[in-house]
Amino acid sequence: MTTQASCRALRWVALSAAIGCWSARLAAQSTDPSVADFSKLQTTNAAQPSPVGNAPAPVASATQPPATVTSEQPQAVTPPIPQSVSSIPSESPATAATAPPVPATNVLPEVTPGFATEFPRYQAPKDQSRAPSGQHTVQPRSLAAMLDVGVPDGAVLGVAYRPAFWTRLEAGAGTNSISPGMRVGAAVIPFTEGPSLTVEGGYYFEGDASAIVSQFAGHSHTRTAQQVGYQFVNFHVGLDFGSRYSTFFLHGGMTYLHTILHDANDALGGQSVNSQGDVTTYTFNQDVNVNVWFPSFKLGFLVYIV
Amino acid sequence: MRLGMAVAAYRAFQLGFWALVLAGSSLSQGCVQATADIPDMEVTRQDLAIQPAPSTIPAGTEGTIVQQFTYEKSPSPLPKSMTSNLHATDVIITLKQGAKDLSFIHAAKLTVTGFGGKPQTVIEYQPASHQAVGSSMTLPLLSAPDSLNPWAVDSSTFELTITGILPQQVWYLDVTLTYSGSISYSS
Repeated sequence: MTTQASCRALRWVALSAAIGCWSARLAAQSTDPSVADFSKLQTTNAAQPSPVGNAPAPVASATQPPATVTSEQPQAVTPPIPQSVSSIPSESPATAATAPPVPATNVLPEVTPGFATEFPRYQAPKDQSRAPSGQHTVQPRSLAAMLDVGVPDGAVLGVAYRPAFWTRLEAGAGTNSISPGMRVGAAVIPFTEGPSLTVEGGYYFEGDASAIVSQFAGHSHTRTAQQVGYQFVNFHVGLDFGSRYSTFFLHGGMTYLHTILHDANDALGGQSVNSQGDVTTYTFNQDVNVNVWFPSFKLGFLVYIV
Repeated sequence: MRLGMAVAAYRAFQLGFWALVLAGSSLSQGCVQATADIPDMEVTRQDLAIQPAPSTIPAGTEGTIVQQFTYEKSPSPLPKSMTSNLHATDVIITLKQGAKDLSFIHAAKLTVTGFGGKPQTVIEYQPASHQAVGSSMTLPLLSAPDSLNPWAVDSSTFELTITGILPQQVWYLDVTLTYSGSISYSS
């Protein structure tokens, strides 16, 4: 009874971790715009005029008026506009009508770190990999090669795609040393690195496990062991380290596994004979479906390539 | 050379992986739950010898005979940590030898006595008029006491009572109990 309770507790912990990760993600989104809106960050960088060299470009454009961005920021954190750029048109129509467009300069205003990528009047220097505040604004690599080893996953080689910095989709193929298989999954990493929550589903085709069974059990139930395959779902919490070019991860949790014992009579059936020679036969006429919940783990790494 | 190393590495992975599975399953006490659904299992007492009609009964006269028997334990006994939730559904009586068919049976009753319990009737049979009876008949259970579960009890004693125009020589039956249900394991 105690053991069942501990299993239930472990599942609740996993579920609570999922909710906690998601809550943390939402909290980060509401308080820190530099962390929260990854997709907007990319869009902003792409839409922002970034002439290289001395080509003049009006900063105030229809696609991205600077005052609009400024008005979205809280007053307390709005950076003071230096005199050198004070004549740049603002949102006010009157001001916009009287003030001509000003060629962009590379004057670096005093800005609060963390908001630099959204500062409208900044003209990116030739090296566009850095924002004025020193932050990297180069688009992170999102496609990775992945290799991991675990139970019941076996060894899986695959690809991972990071549509946003806090999530990762993955698909791969692997082997459990009996047969080939495949696996797909999704991970939530609310802080880019650190705690993570992963849900994966996998399928291993049926293969001949006679050699393995005889290795460990000393004998082989031939027909049953010749058709061993399974499907599984992992519910893992874990830790992911590194975020830009590579990630190492260690995940653990519970797994639900389903398998079918073919020719179960070969493995479970048989005869019993007593001292009088009376024979009792145990026969299994159909395949036996087996469902298992058990602890599982996995470790691996990703290398972002694109 | 490289192929040999690759084969050796794969072999090491193979053994290591499944050794890890076994070690993990033994270390993860308290967190493993397994259920095996068994849709159709049969336990058969083979070649049960039924004595002929007593010589005191004239040939062609209806008589009654009672035969006791037991089922031997499964060759694959369940570990104590496994729980059997199997339920008996039917009894199949099959004539093996000593008569042409089972049409001579006018009534039959099977009782089971669990360890220390009182007998429970699990089948009562009376053929309908003009019912064709062959060498086998399937009889639904009236009740399915736990004492019928081959993995739930150590030993059960069955008593088969047959009334009819009995053969004059020893005849043989297979008495089969069919089951469905599941076996669960928790650690």
